[in-house]
Amino acid sequence: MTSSDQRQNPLFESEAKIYARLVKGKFQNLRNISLWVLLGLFYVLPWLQMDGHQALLFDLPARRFYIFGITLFPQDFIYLALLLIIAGLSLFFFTALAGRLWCGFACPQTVWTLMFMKVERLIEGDRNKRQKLDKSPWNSNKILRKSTKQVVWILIGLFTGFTFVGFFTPILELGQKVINFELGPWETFWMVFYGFATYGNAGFMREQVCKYMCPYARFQSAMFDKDTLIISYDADRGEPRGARMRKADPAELGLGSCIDCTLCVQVCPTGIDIRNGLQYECIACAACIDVCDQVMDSMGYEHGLIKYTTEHAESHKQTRVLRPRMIVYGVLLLALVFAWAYGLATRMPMRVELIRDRNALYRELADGSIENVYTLSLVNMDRNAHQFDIELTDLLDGSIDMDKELSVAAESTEQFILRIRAPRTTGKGGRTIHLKLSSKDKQDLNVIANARFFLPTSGL
Amino acid sequence: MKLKNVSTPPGRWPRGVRDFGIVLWVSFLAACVGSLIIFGLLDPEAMTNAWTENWDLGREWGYTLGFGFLWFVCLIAAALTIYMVRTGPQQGYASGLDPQRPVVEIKTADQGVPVLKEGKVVDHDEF
Repeated sequence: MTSSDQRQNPLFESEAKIYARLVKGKFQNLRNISLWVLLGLFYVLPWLQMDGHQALLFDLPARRFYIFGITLFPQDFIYLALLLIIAGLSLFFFTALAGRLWCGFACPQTVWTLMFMKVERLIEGDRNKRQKLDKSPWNSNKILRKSTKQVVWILIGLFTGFTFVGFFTPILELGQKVINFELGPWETFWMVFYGFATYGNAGFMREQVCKYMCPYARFQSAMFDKDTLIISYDADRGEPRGARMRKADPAELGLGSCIDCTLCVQVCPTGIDIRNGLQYECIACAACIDVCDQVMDSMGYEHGLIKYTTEHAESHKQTRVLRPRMIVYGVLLLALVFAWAYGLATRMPMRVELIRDRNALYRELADGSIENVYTLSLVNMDRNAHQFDIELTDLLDGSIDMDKELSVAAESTEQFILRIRAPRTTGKGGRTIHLKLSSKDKQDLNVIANARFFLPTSGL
Repeated sequence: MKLKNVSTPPGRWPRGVRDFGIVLWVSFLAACVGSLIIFGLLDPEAMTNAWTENWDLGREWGYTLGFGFLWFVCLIAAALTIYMVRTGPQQGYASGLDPQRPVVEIKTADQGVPVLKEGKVVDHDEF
């Protein structure tokens, strides 16, 4: 396919399949470590048990999230929202600092793609063998290898789907159901759907997702500045590029350090040529650095023709790590993390809601006092059952009448009918009153609730 | 998305302005349809005690906030879509270079360059 063909039919020309070459080296080792740690976390976490239930479980039907020692209720939505904001801000922080670290090392798209490519290499061989296999007619070898690869990919996909569902429904029971073929329709759907998405994304779409579908790839350059770490080819040193004998002196031949072996292009999973400068397709996997350093070794040249550097360093200026952008992101990030941790640590594991009876503002009783009726909804988020005392902190001549004992089982919600009475001499119209609810059996477990209390406006 | 350096024929909006208008209008229409369906099936008044927070929204606020929320979500989706379509591969590949990416001629071992075997660069006799 020549470039003039591309020009004539740019919309419908599908890109040539990329057969990225395997490369080993410092950064690929780091990527592998990241791969195993992240995949390990994903596949192992749902199996951990704690206090007799799954340590990490997002129980949607019961509307509560178990996150290790903490149980979050819908009312605690703020902690999850804050956590998401912290994650977003960390992405900003690390992108400004070191470019697309996320893309190269941590993004699930990268991580699962790497794993699927490992499987592919194991079964079909390295680049040349894969290319040859794709071109060869369908003989028994090709059928065997291709179908083995598909089966393994599909199994990994399904197991990934199973694990994913295991974050939302107890995974031990889910495993039992799978073994006994007793899966419900929703579990089956999500398992197959997530499995299929994994298989499609990691097996086929791969870096195309980064190039065409990922919004972060389009936005990340806005977070870059001239002090951000980028992967870059040192054109001053490399050009003019050209082949030469190993023992030849490049200066004599008028050549730079680049021997134009094109290995940096061959190992690139997105199929770009890093020597043309920073391109938005680059996911910062650093494969080109690893391979070029080896080529430099074999030529007896210094490392770093392609390297992590900054725009400032490239133009021989000082690179500053501490710059306003980093300080702002860093301070915000620290403040949010602190606020989140503090909020969670001091979170009161109970909540009270007082809802006024909507039918009547107030009721006059036979003895002349005024009664307001409320529904008291008491949420006990603690792991233990509790009994509560209730008292009025203002409206001191008032009294409270309850339909039953204020006791709530562990991690549950109970509703009570509450009648608050006050003498008519208290005043006129509406006022805000406060009720203090405190646990009988646990110190420091108390909450103050607000309510509106209405008295007649006239006719004293 | 670039407003600068685009010559616009008289009487026609520049592309940036058109994009902005399209995003606003399409998301508004989508939010209208969404609101009709949602509030045809659901009375916001009935949600009074169904909120996680202790909210007592009347119908008017329920309708207003519901529509506003739908518009906001549709706006984000529409804006992101137009941004993704407008940027990307068509926008050139490296600043200052021809927008068309040249095809790199891959060199092979017989051209006297080093080769990769099992992830390691192997010296080639030729050089």
